[in-house]
Amino acid sequence: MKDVHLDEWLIDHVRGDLDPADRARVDAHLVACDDCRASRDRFAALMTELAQTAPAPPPIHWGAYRAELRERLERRTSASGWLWAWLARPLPALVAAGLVAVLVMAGLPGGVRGPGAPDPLALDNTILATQLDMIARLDVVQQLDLLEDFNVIGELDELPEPQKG
Amino acid sequence: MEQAPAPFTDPVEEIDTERRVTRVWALVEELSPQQRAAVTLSCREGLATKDIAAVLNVSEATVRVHLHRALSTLRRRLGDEG
Repeated sequence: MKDVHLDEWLIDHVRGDLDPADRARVDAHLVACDDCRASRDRFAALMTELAQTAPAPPPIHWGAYRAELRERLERRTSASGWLWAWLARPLPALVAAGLVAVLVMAGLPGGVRGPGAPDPLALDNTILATQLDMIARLDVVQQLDLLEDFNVIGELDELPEPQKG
Repeated sequence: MEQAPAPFTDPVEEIDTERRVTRVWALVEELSPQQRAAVTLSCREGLATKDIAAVLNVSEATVRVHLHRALSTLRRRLGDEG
């Protein structure tokens, strides 16, 4: 372990986010490794800079925000109407069957990915990219207690400005 | 009651700092989505690794890798610019 650098643990070390055993391991390594010590100091400086200069989140009118959110959720629920009522019953069964089929195919030799199949990491990237706005406003999401409904909250930017007065 | 004089701030230094801040966060915007998310949640929201992992639905080890790569990239790019 002596010769292995602990690069990926340095940031958690800076943030004090390691359990005692890991912290002791990193501490011991830092005593012996000039490179990691210098690296840790540079990470610490950069993280301090990022934390101190983080752009302020956009101002939010909480009352209007919540009211609009509720209205949108209700509108979405009622708009789906009879179609969703019809779909809702067989849907879980279909989803479960689809999931089983995917798992079975993935378990077959060679799996479901052919040479031209999309990279799952790229798919993850795409999904996450659409959620970055929400992540940047995590405090808002947490306070609304609606983290599970990223898609709906993600569209709130498109809401009209609240009427003044 | 007398008011204390405002502390002197060098306007040139202030502009330099402002440019640097703008540049740093512009570089954050250029990171991959996972890395940007990890940096935002860590440095702006102050979340711990396990909380970031929960939000992004990945393992703590993955969060460590994203953060390390993100900050290494930022350091390199800022260093390249002097």
